[in-house]
Amino acid sequence: MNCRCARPLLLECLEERLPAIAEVAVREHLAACPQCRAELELFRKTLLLAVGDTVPLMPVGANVFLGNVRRRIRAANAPPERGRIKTKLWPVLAAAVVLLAIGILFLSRGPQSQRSPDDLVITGERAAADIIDRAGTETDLVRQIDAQSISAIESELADNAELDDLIEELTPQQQEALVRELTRLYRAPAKPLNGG
Amino acid sequence: MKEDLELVRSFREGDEAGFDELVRRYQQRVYALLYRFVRNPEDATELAQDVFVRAYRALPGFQGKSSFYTWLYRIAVNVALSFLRRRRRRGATDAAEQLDQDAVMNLPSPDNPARDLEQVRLRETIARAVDALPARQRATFIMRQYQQLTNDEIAESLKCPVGTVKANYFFAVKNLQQKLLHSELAARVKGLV
Repeated sequence: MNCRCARPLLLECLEERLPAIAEVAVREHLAACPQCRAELELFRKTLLLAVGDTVPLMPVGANVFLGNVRRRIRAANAPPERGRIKTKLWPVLAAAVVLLAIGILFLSRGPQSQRSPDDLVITGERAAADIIDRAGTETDLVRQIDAQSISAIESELADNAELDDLIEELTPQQQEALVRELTRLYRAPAKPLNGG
Repeated sequence: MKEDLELVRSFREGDEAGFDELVRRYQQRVYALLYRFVRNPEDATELAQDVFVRAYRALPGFQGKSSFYTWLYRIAVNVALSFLRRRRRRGATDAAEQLDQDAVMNLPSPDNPARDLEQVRLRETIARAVDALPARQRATFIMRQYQQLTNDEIAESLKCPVGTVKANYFFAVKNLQQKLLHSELAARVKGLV
């Protein structure tokens, strides 16, 4: 083993995460190479310093923490908090984002879809592009956007911090307007391919 | 003691106590992870609570393909990065200012002021160096060095290949090394046994 092969493995070696065969090879190289030994030593010192960076105690006790989580969950479920709107919004949003993106990619570009937030469209385009890649015709496409697909997309969106941020930044009025708009789009009949 | 997935299952069947147990089990680790990103105990606590609220809402969709805590860490890392982005946009207290506040909170004790001051400065330097890492390297370094996650677990949490995790960790340590070596503590680094 030469230095070029050994160096990327030094950290793994230091932390004893290398497979046995690789470790033997790295150790043999280290025994013969003072430069790599020096590099290993620097890694060791750096990590030793990093370990010294401690975390202060959590300012609240375990039960208070749990109580706060529970309170926030209750608050998120209580009307007319924004969380309730958001919870109601997800299924409609997930389905509408897909339809919206399909509209953009395949069908005529209506003035309503152009009013949607850009970030939302980009997210929708990505989700739709994956589906479109697998589907050849509109019929296949529609078949694939069944309840299961929407549920999967909804689950993905629920973890999407950026989209969440986007919605967080909307005022309650804007959120309601978005719900209305997406609901309208969701319920609108799909236009035929090449039809507009 | 019940396994995580058992608790998840019982929660999904309507047993709220299952979720409470998961919160108790992971609150400290999630808090510690978030603290590494935001460097403020109050913000880290708030965000940790936010992580569990999100987890509560998303648990019905959790498919159990990964372990519960890598799934939870993924939410936590997203929450942390999103918080840092918002903080940058608002131009509010950044991590460096927070470190200055921490330094004030950690004033040296009268018993051994020189040593304590040195420790405070050391902590600040390390924290600044970690904060200055690119987001992916930082997340990888924190999860591996402080949370003791394996490469596979980090890859699952960050949704990237294991090779990317290894590369990010390697470059994170190299970057830290450069920053520390060029800092005022260079002499101390070199003098460590």
